[in-house]
Amino acid sequence: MTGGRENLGQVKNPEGMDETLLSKAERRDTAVHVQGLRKHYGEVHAVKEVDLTIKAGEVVALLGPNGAGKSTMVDMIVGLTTPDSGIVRVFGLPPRQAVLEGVIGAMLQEGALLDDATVIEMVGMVASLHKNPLPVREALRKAGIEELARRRSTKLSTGQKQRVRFAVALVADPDLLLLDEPTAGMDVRRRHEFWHSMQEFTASGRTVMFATHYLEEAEEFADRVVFLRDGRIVADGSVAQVRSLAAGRTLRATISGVSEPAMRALPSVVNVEIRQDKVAVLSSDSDTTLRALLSRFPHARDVEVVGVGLDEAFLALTSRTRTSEGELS
Amino acid sequence: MNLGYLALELRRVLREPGTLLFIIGFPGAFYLLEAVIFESQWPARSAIDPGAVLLPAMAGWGVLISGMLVGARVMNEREAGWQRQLRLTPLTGGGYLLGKAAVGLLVSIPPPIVVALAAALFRDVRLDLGGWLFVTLVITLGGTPFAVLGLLIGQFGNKKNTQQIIIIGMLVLAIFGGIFIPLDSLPPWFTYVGYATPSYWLIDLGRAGIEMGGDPMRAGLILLAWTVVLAGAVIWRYRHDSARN
Repeated sequence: MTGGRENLGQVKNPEGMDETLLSKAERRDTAVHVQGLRKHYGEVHAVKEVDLTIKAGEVVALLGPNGAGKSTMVDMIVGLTTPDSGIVRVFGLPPRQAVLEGVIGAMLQEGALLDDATVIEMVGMVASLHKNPLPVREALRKAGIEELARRRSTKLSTGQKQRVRFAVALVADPDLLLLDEPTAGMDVRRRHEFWHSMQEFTASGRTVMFATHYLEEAEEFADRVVFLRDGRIVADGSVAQVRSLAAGRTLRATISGVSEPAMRALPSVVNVEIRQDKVAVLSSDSDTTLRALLSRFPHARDVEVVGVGLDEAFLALTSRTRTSEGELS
Repeated sequence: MNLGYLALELRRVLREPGTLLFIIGFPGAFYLLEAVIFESQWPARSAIDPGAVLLPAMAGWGVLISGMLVGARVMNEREAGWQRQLRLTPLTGGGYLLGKAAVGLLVSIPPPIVVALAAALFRDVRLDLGGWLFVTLVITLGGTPFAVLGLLIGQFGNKKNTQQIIIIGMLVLAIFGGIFIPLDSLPPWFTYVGYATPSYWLIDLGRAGIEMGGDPMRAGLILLAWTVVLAGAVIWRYRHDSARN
């Protein structure tokens, strides 16, 4: 069934796919593989049909407004929430198995702490549950909370609590670290300290996926940015692309009989959106794009050029209302 | 079983001196009070002393409340989101249950001993060694389903309702187990309902120590069945409970 690939076809899998499609090397190189993921809570569709592959060693930021489905996605990747349909694999393993193997470390938004235990007790206990944990002191040092070891969690500030939860995630010595809003409630200085300790972790080639509200964080610390809105990935690209998105301008025009490939063929085009005859082109060099657009489509009307900052780009990508399935207005 | 997990669980319980004092002191004190009340109404020709009759009832009460109160504490860590964090470790549903139930059992050891001491020192109750074992360690072991039941209530309840559910649950179990008032002195339907409760069989098990109970093997097996069913529910709930608060 997989031809020349390493044969894993004998693996019995109730979902009837995936294992047979991934070779061993691909498993090692693919930190997260998500396919056709859906989840709804009652009437609310939290995640709709998401496909995402994260390579080992990537640092990926998951951006999106509240309710975009970020936390639900993180929950499904770590196996806390079972998807309605779709596949999740972490280094080739189903989430629960990846957790049992100590492959996943996660810092959840609501993963609070025990009121009646000290920092070292909590981190130590979690370490004792894992197969190959880091020494507890090392995890505390990496999270920058060595001096808080004997403190009860009731006596910690919000930022300190976040770092304790970071230590709890780190102590498993995981290959994939998932962080849901890791710097929520921290001031700017604390955020910098936090990301500094994170860099030590990513420097060793581990994979990190973090959900955040802060664009600067995504820009500064991620290799790749995934925008989520209304339970769908609306943009996915490298930080360089995001930067050009931010530095770029949006060209709008009305062009009858326009096609997406034709627009994409224009120079310096980052992104194209077409609705009927209305075109919105995101360009990293609007002058070049505009000249090419006008020479190729002399009949273009209502031409306008507007600048976008990262914030606007982000807002544009994540907060527009959808008029119909998959179409932006 | 994971010792690191068990050790922290135990240490956390010991940090709540109020609950511990209540669990350890209350059944003993209640025993002495009830013994005084019942003594004045006790038929003079009765072969058995009220102090002895009340012994398994109050020892069982101590086991029941400690198991349930300690188990229900799990509600706090669920509400705090700690249980979600635990689900991201290799701790299995079974390991989780074992750790929690073991702590519940360990805390249930002292209360019946305190009641037994009160009986021996202040009410001159005399039993043979086997009898003392039944009203202390055997009844503690028989209390396993209550530790698991408390756990289950803590896993389903929230900050608002757990306290009430536990208190009502403990009282209902006490009444139909014949803990506060001997079932012989109540209409027979109390006894029939009692058969369906684990508390009835817990006291029945303890009463084997004063040679008033039924077959202790039967009581033990029924309590074991209760444990298995409740434990299954706890493990199921642990695996599926990922509710966001």
